[in-house]
Amino acid sequence: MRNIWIIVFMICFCSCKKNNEASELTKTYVQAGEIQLTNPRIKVDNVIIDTSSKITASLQLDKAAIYYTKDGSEPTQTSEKYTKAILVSEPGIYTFKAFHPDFRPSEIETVTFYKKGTNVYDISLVTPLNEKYPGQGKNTLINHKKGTSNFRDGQWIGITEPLIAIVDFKNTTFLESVDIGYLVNTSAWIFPIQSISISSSEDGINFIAIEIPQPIEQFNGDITNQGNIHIPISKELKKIKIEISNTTSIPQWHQGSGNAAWLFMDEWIFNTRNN
Amino acid sequence: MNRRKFLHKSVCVSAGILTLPMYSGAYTFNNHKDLIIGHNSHQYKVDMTWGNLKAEKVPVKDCHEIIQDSKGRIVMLTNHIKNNIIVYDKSGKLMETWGTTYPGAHGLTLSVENGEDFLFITDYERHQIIKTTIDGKEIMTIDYPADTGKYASREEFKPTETTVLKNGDFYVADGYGNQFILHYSHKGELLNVFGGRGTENDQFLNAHGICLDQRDTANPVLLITAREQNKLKRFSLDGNYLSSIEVRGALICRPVIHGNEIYFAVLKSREATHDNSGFLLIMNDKNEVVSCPGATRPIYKNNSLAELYQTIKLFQHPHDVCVDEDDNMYVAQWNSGQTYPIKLTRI
Repeated sequence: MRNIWIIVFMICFCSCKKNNEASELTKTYVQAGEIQLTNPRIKVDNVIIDTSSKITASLQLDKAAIYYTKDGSEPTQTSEKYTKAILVSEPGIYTFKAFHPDFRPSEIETVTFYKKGTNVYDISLVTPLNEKYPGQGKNTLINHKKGTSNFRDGQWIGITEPLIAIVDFKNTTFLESVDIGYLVNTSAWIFPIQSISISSSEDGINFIAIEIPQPIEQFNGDITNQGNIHIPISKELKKIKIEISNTTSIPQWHQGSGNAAWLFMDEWIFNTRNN
Repeated sequence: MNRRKFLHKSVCVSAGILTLPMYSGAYTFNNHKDLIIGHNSHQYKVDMTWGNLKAEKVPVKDCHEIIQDSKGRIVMLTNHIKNNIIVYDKSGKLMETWGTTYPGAHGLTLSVENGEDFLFITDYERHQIIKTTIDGKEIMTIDYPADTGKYASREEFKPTETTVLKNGDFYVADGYGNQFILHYSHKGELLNVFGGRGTENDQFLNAHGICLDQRDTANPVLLITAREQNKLKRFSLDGNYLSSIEVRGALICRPVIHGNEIYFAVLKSREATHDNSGFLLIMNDKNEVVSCPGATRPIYKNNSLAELYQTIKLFQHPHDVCVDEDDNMYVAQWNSGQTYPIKLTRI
């Protein structure tokens, strides 16, 4: 009987010792499972689709796998596995996420493809461009080219005051919607659009305001991303007047609190039935 | 069932239950997987608890640079003016702090002169280089080189790094200023100026770090990082450009020579779309990248190194590394939320 109690005691002792060893290990070194994968790197030919575009994703890490969706939903390991470059011929949202047996999954990377908009006859600026970031002049916004995440790549115009422009289609056009592309890079003081006003003109002279929902985007820490505001229009018109305001007062959490923020835009896409 | 049999049975059941924790313990044990970073010969486990201090007593802002002194102590430079210098022993225990007048404390270099340790601190806000004893007594201050005609004002001089020769001559890299490399005698007399801002071979965009490379004792050279260009440039001691080593994707901060290898903190991955994309990089005696802790495996194709980038979110903005005699590394980080250095144990 006494021997049995000794055995029981030994078993308890051993099991406790094992647990202690494990917790000491946890304490000393970072565990793989605590660490998150970096987002997959996404490369795209052009997100404005004329005929087709190509998208590649990579994360060069042993045992890492990338999964993706085409409907904007968050990928899981049951989603489609990325194996080779994807040819894209229709507008849509591609979302990528990396997984690994040892590490926490990455955040998502999203790429939105747009249909090429209709050609604009002319764009005239009511307010001047900022000399520091003029992009390639006023046509930057209608050249069917989106910018990269690098705001100095020449496809972005940067402003610190509202931009007002009149876009002329020459002939009467049924405009279904407008997509306004912008950049957010808060550490470079680049914030989202604060407000948009749009008015349309059937005769090219008189403009009537169109009611549109205002952008709402709030965050409390530094982020970098490319945004897009889709504005339904559904009107016949010859000209459209667009007035866009930058964030006039940087929020309190940011070092630039109270100052006017930069607004960077790369492209205005005018969607018609025919384009 | 007699009492003896019953007891025997229940003890067996208890033993079975009691052994469960042992197995679960063993299972937990197996389930723990220490993170191992790096490639090939240079792999490490990561200790985030090393050197952590109470922020209310010994605060840090950016941890800019970190070195080991002749006594084996780890000396770290931060731009927090409550304690610009924090001295640890190798276990991470606080030994002492000093320095309250270096708001732009950035570069930290050890100079051993006749067996005595001195420090060269660069301060880009004071636009100065300050030489101190190891316990913080200032013995020399270098101002902006007005006589060269290359600076319109002192504000244009924002030195980031120094390196010291055996004879006491030292070089200064003006990495946040006009990108010149300045060569001084041990007395602080300006002997030579080279480099400058530009994209030519002998010019720099962000001449952030500099060190003396005397691995080939017969041919000592200077190694200077052009961080924005993702290049390490080699110069002769008299300021002639020799060659460049390209590390595409890696914003290398300063070269640190340990044995026959060069170690770098990499502030960011060039094409990263997210913040905190840094990692580390190690070159061998042939200046080939052999390991990138926290990033992609270095791969050469046709003598060209594939672009490097962060693969796991471990480091934020590594700014300097120190390698001790056991080949363990200490990593100081810029803009990391006031964190203390990270220790890497080589395996």
